[in-house]
Amino acid sequence: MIRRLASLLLTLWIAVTLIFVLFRMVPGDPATVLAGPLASEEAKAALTRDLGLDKSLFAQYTSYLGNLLQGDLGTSYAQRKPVIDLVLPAFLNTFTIVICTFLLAYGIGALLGVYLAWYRGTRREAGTTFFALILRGAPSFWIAILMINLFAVRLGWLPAAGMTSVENVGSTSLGTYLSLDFVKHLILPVASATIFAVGLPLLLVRNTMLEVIGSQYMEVAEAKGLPQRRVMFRHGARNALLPAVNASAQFIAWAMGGMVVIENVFSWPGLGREIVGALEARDYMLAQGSLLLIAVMVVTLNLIADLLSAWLDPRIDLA
Amino acid sequence: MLGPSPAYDPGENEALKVVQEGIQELGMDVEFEGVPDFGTFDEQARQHEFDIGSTGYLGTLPRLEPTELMGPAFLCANADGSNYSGYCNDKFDSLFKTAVAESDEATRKQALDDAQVLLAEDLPMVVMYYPVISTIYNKEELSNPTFVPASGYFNFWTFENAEPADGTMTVGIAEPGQSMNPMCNASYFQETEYQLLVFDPLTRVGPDGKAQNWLASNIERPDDTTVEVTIRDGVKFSDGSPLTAEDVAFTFNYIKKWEVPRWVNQTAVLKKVSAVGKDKVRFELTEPYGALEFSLFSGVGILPKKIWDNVTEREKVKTPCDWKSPNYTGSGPYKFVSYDPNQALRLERNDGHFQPPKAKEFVGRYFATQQSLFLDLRAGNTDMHDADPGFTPSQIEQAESDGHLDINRSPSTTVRFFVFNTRAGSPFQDYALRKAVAQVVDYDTIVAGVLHNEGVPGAGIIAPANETWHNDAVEFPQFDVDAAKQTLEDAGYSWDGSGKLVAPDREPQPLAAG
Repeated sequence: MIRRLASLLLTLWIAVTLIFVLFRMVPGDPATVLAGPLASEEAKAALTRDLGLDKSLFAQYTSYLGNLLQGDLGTSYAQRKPVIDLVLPAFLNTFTIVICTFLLAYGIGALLGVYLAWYRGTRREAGTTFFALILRGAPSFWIAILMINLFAVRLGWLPAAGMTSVENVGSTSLGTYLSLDFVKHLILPVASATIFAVGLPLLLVRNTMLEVIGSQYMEVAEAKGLPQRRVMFRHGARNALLPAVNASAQFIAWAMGGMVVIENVFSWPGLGREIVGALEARDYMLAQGSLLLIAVMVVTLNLIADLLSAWLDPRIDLA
Repeated sequence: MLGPSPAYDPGENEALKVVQEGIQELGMDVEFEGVPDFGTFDEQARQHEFDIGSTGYLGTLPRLEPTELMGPAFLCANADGSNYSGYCNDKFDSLFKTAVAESDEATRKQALDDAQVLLAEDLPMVVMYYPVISTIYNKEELSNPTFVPASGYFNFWTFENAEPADGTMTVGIAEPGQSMNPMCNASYFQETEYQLLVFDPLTRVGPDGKAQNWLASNIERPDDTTVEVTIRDGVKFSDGSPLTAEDVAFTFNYIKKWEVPRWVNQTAVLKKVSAVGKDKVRFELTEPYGALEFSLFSGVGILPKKIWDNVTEREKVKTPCDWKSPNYTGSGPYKFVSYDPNQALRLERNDGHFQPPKAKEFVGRYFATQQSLFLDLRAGNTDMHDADPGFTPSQIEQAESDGHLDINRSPSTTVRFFVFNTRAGSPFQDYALRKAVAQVVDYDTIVAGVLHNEGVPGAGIIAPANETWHNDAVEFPQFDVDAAKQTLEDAGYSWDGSGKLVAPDREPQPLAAG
């Protein structure tokens, strides 16, 4: 376990360093982008000093590492606020979509996967599997724009963008997050992400279930005369879910960074949107902070996935 | 040829392909390098890694002042910086200096007219087109917006005078939010329009593109290097305290002291700013500066001295820009409520203002993409949008089918041009070659074929929509391939057996007049 934790810290340090170096290899510096076209050298110089970019790269790196160890992610170049104040709310906003999508995609996907495997060979099963493959291949932004055009523009049932209505913008109270207004804004992004994501757990569970169905213990359970539903879920699905459980932790980790498209189409104020904006503005500090948060999530969730797998299947050796 | 990639700016990219084809007709090989964003372009351009570089100049309200473009882009002093082309003409510099220094409008106009003619003669750049911008607003929600060519409906006069049906004016911007702290202003961003809703400036740029008095009731120039501003009576900050000459003097000295990047150049000319009595401020300049009312006074919002004076000690920060939660008390027509750069800025009407706005509330919403903003406009949740989100023809068609949206199409003051690298070693150091290239740009095909007539063929560096400063007398080369070849022949160019252009054996002539 201690070795796993040490490896986790090493991975994070490598991630921090790589992120730091890679951003500075991208052409165009923050002062230029912030100062805008045709900015004078004096204006750029003033901005470069303000942002601390006149120091050597090594000095910037060591200063950044030192601050990180104290929990300080630095100050955003464009917004001049502590990065932690910007990324934490964004993180929570992304996490909200990710968790809702995960629960729906894996819940519906797993259930459907079990049913489809059970009813294998039927037209219903073939049609649904085909449809799932189509959804798996469709780009998420296309699904999202279709949903907005239908439900927001044409029908006017749901909002087209943002996290809350104009009246509630800026409110950080718990009440806002539990309000109907927030839920209405959440529906389309989550629905779009779920439609895109449901294919994987559905197909994964279906395929594993097909293997499980052919097992001897399943034949014994059927032979014992147990109700079909009980055989399907208690004996079959329970074992078929293991790959899906593995994939789910990885899904959450992937989704934290992969919601970029959904967040940008819906102007949802999450981490993905933050990263895109930060990259365009060459806001190194904000981009680094956002990516670091995602790196921490991915590494941590992978560890949790490994621990969960070992608990579910005693045959797995963590070491 | 350095220009935007198709993903970055598809219209400009296509326009440059037309230019590329034209240059190839002259017998030159042209290799196009697409850049993904402005930062990359700027880095390469400042390192002079190009022969032809395409840039554009978004025509916003503060940029109606021609020196804002012409100085950084063409002055000799900027040849290693923002003057990507390296163009250097003492005559241009002299005209520019006159335009900056003179306060008499007629003299300024003459100098700027002559400068435009000179640039059209020397051709360090070729203006391809001025885009027609399509501006959309929700006419069922908003009445009386003010249209200005430089910025569409996105301007102070709309925010002040337009009436939203539900009392809340909602404006969408398809860009990440920048800091609202005026002491952090790096350049003109759309947030600066919002800052000027909370902090009043001395003057405001009117719909006619000229600076008009706002906080200032009178501006006098006792001599070339002194400007005296009388402050309007009875102005108060939103906390009820009076705005005095002390606050005005403090603000200008403050932004100079802290070297706010946006104002570093303009404040260099301020020798001393002092309050003379309760309502008069004296600006002593190091040299004459005729554009002061426009370039400086209209962009600096007045800060309350009592809040900002000792902020670094009080808040324990290095600079006022580092203040984490600034106090945005100002004297403007709106009061600050809240700001989330990923969601929205919220302001409410300042009923104590000398000219309160019609709207009770103002919300500036931030969208991740232009498409997201557009869909929200169609859904009726946002009333209007920012200066130029660049709606595509297909989006305009969709908007036209929505009964609640009003679409206004008109030429903007934005200028889309490319510059030549006129430095030694570049083939475009020679004037004749630049002129020939200007003569093979098919301006009409760019406008009709690439822009679907959403543009006006280019001519001078100041757009015709900038009626105050555009010079109608500027003569620009027209598309004529034969004339281009004749230009080259007359200058000693020839073609080899394979049709490739051969440069003459002489020193390049950098300027039209030799």
